[in-house]
Amino acid sequence: MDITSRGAFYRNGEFDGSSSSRGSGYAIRVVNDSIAIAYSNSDDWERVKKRIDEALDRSRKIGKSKIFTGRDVRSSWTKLGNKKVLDTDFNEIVDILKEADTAASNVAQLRINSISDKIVKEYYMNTEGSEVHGEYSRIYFQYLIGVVESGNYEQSSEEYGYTGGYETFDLGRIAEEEREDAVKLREIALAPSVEPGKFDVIIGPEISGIVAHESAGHPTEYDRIAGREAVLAGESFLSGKKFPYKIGSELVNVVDDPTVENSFGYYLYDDEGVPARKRYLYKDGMTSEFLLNRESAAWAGTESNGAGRSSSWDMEPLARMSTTYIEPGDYSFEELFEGVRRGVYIKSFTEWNIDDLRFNEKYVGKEAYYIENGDIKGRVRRPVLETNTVNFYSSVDAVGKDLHFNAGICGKGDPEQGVEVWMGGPHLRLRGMIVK
Amino acid sequence: MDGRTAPEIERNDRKVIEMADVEHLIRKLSDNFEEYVVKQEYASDTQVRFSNSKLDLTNIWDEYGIDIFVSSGRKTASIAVHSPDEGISKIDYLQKVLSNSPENSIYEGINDKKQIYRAVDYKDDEKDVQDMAVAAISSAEDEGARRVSGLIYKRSSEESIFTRYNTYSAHKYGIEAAVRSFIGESSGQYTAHYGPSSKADTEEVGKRSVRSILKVDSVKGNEGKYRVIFSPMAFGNIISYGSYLFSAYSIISGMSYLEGRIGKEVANESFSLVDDPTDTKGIGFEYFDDEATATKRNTIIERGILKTYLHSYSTAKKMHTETTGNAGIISPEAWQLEVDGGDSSLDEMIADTKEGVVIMNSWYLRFQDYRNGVFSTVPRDGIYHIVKGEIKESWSGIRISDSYSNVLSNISLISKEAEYVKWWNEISASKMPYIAIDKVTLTRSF
Repeated sequence: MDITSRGAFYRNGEFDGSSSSRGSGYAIRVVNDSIAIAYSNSDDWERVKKRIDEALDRSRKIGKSKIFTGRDVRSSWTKLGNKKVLDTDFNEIVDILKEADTAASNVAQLRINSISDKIVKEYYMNTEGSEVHGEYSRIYFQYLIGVVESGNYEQSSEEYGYTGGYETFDLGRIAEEEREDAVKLREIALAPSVEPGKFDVIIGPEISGIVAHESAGHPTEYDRIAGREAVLAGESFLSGKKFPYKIGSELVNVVDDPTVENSFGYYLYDDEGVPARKRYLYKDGMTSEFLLNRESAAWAGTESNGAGRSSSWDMEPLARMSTTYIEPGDYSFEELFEGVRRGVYIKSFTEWNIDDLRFNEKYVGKEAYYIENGDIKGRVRRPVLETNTVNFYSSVDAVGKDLHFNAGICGKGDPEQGVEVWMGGPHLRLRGMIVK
Repeated sequence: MDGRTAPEIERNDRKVIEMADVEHLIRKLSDNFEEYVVKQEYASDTQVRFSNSKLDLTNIWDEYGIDIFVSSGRKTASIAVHSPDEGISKIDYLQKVLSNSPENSIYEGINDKKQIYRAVDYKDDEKDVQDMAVAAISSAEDEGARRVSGLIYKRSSEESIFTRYNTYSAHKYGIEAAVRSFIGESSGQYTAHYGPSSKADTEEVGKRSVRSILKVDSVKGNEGKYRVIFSPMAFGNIISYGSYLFSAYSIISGMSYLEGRIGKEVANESFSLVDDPTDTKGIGFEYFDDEATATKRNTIIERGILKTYLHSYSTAKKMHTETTGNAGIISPEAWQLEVDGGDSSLDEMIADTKEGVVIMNSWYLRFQDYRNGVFSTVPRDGIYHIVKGEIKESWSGIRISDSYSNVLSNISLISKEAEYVKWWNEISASKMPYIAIDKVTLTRSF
């Protein structure tokens, strides 16, 4: 794998510098009585060979040694787009940051805008005869803005990411969203808190997306279910369950699909040379497929479904998400609100977290409103949904027909590997939720 | 180079890099840029991961890399490459980036004072990393664990830094261990890190992971304000995520409520916090920062009073003070945070608590408000409810939802014992005691 990347930062109207890097090397996995991987970026074959020999020695220590091999695959794929990352000048990067910063500068006292891009070339081969070559580029933009209004502080952080060239990157739209976000923060800072109680809740796609990622994607990573990540990101509430296991309303379908065009986590072959495909994680409210890399597929007694990802040449492949989303239903935005007598509409989120079984979770609303008799009323500040996965999905009684994605960097493994993902979904209606 | 040279880097009887090549790169940078920093690192690390009491994977790294920083006036650029030749080939690119960059308003140059670096004499622990993993599993099982997961990470590197004013090379070494044990549905976790002055004891890590699992009834936790006794890991999690609040970069950016609070009370008077990269018992020790300033022990909070922010040369100049040796050239960061000086013990803290909770570990801390440090984090690996000075039951489903100013102000007891904790990206290398904090807000899921 060979990765060339660059990034730049703009803070409160000032340029904070730029960075770039190029890293490449070999990762050689050997399987005997256990598994070992040697990573080397030396150009000296004797050095590389020495590390492979060490990996061979260490793989003779008794441990787990199952791995899905499968048939040989010979293929190549590219996703570099039209306006190629390599052809995009550093000047253009700086201009993007300036424009984004300017968009919110009249309102937000705190503004941190950053952009990065990278080009990855990857070559995979194994003893079964597979040879897969991939080449792709990714672009990532993030902002954090903070507004102080009458002594109250409110913040917002949003991420945008794409696979392909700069034609995927709509600066005008992003800058406008940042500007609008800052204006809304000023109003949110002055909004009242929710009087805690039971409400019908309508959530926006940004929250559907984080919910899909945290409480459908992570718990269906089979390495977690099998206990492999217990000391780090934890296990899964699905460990030890009989499958299919009921998650919630039959209206809920959650998908992970690496092949969504231009998505941030797009790939056609994973980092273990396995073809990518769409996977239903939850189908009709029940568990369906799990996210499998070669190692966890062997434990599950099945084939890898192409979820093996490494963030870099010197990182082990783990079972990872790509684009995870709740499938749209057939309700229009207006229809979702009909019949909601007393509710809260939480369009986007600020703070969130979830326990290591991916069950007990919290989402704090950013843009949020009261709903009275089907109508959106005044803003509310930082409403909190603190619930669990089964309760959340069981409370869904209507699924919107819209679909929107947000980008993110998902962490897992040690050393921590951040891999690019999209998260998305439609508006959803949930009945009888405790809102604090 | 002014005639200075750095030691050759050799491993496995083979030279990793020709120093003449590095010196050539430095001459080129010196000729072409006003300031430069070159950091080279050769890392030879090994890590073993295990779960369900069996080895999963042994990772073996053999990596060489060079980080280059250059500046012209207030314009800055940096690049990471994997050979001196590649660095030389990027000089034109760096010049182009500099010419197209806006000025970096924080940047004030590279520390030009001659530095004196500490010498630390030690040998790497020769214990085999796979054997250490097996020992951790066995000791945890002997202690009663039904299944054990964890990792042992042995780091060994040669690091050098070159600026116009200072040059230093050093061998660095350390071990991290994390073990999580399970008995039925209950888990316990223990982590440790060992610098060159410590002897790694992974058997002890295995045992301690099990000892924190108490055989008490498990019930759902209740919301409210409680005295919470934080274990070294749980408090380490909070301090690690909140360390940005002490960085001068956060102050300059408007991201910390500690702006303008130097010399003022920011914590209970029993609480002192230091950043100590000179403590070689921990893996967070460092010889130099990113601009070759020799690192030093800095007292951030002394008996409740904020004494300093963490500075690079540039942020210090901006704020009319001296660098604390914490560069990041633009954004300074803590190396190894330590809390010492309590006079209590965990048992005394529990006995002193009418009603409260002991939290053994916590993770996934996120902020709804960076500026005021409003956060929540999710406890795990042991949440024990205390009633009338005794642990009554184990709680589940709760969350700590509070702010840094409340947490620091309401510290009531600190233990004498302190532990070197580090865990993944959740807890930076630190040395933390048990800390009892009053009126901590706990929330739960519904």
